[in-house]
Amino acid sequence: MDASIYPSLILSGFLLVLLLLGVPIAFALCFLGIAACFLWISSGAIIQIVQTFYDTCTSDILLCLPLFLFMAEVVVVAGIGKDLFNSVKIWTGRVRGGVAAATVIGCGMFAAVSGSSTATIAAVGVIALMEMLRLGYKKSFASGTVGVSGTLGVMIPPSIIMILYGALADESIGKLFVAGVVPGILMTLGFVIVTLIQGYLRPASAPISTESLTFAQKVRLSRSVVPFVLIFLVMFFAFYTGIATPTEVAAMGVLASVIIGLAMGRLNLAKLFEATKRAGLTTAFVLFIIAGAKFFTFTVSATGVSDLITHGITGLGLGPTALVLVMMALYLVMGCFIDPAGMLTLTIPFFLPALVAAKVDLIWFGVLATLLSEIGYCTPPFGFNLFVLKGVAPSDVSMSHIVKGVMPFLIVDLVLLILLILFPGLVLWLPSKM
Amino acid sequence: MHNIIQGINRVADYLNAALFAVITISVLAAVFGRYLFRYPLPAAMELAYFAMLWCAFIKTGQALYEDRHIGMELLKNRFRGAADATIGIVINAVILVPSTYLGIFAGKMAWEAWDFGWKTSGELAMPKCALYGLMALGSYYLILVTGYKIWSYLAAFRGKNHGR
Repeated sequence: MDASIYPSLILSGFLLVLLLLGVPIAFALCFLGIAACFLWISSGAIIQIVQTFYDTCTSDILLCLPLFLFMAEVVVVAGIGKDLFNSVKIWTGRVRGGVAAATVIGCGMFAAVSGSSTATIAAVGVIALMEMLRLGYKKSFASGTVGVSGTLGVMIPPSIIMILYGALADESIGKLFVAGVVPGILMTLGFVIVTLIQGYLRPASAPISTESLTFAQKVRLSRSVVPFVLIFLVMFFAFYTGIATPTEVAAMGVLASVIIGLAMGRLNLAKLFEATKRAGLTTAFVLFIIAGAKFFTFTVSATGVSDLITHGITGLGLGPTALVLVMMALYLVMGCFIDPAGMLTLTIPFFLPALVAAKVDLIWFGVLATLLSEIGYCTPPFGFNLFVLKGVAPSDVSMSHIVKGVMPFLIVDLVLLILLILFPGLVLWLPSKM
Repeated sequence: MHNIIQGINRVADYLNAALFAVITISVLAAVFGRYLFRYPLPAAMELAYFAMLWCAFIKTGQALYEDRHIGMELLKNRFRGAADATIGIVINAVILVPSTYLGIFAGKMAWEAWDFGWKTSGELAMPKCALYGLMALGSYYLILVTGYKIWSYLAAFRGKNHGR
């Protein structure tokens, strides 16, 4: 066996052991980076860990991360998600499966001002789940709808996973956001169709809302959606007209949500403090993961392991599409066992050189990877959203209800994945207009 | 020790809130300066970057304490008693290594930056010792938290419960 393969075997083996043990990904990567410095580079190279953390945590492209997280938390504590769901429900509640459709639409809309799947479930999903269960929706249908709708926060911009991918692949976060718009809308439509079909095929599982309102009453009650629309418009015009960068848009989003929350009397200092607390924790661990991955990549490049892996992948002689398909299949499997952020962190540094060599469009790949991350949030045994939902759902909603419920929606995700692979224009058309 | 960590976390929460205010206000100042007054404020953006660095290092210890750092939980939650404590000790020992190196080297760089009076390039010219110094402090807090966790797991071996 070629001796140059030893570092890669040792590092991969140890990485797997550390991850299986439960060592946080950021620290596992740093630990192995340090070990690689001692074994194959030079102990003096370890000082690079400080510079890597410094560069990552002061990176201009990552500055939007704490701001988007803060905005999402402000919107959650201000209860804007609840208004959004109620406003949509008024219009769709009289259709069979309509409250589930309102959940999907509400989560999709909320995702446009929040980049996080957990925030989307917390803000819209929990209220929607309680409402569906109150109306007598089947537990699996209701919980599955909420579980999968939360993942819309991953695809519809602003998306934290896209920010992570952009930082790892050194791609424009603005372009990634714009590229996610069409897939995000298609996915929302697909989920709505699934809810309506399920309501039609199994009427008993999706009772119609008994609330009967006149058109004028519906319009009056829908006014509660105005605060959300204002926040969305501020961000939409700033970002999609190209006058502001993602970071500036995020700051304006924070300003708009704080002003609107205060004007509605739903925000106070204590709630803002709570929002900063939660956003701060997420910011810290995401930045540590990215910095850990960058330090690991630095050491792996210095040992020559990354070249070996890249040659190994390119040596397979696969065309660009086949290469992407293999990577997607790997993501599909990994997503069942590992958090999407970790999945991208562990793979992108190795996949990137092979993708560049195969001339694969990295924006297109980023959107595909984001879609696979989204699927990963909902696939058992370790889909993150499944656990989040189990944690907030009433005790009589079991994990098997949730898993059974998300399955029909995953078909939509897979169909969309195939469509995006077959027609890259669905992803790349909008960014090409920037 | 548990109370000390709780106290540090509370202080970190307040500092973090202030840093979020700094980040938001700085970026907004840069945006309004550029678009409304045609007066770019690069120093404001620099301040925001440094606030993000501090924010990450101030909160990372707390994130570790609250088990918020992302990891696989395939095996971790399947064991009880001595096996759980052993795995806990191994995990925290692994975390201790990069935390210690970060602490040592960031402290060393802060010291050198202080000695030589290094400042950041750019308009703000922030003393680099303040930046590396806070990275070092954040890393020392990581060391404290991992040390406390190892101690708690060791206590679990002896059948005592130290806040776990």
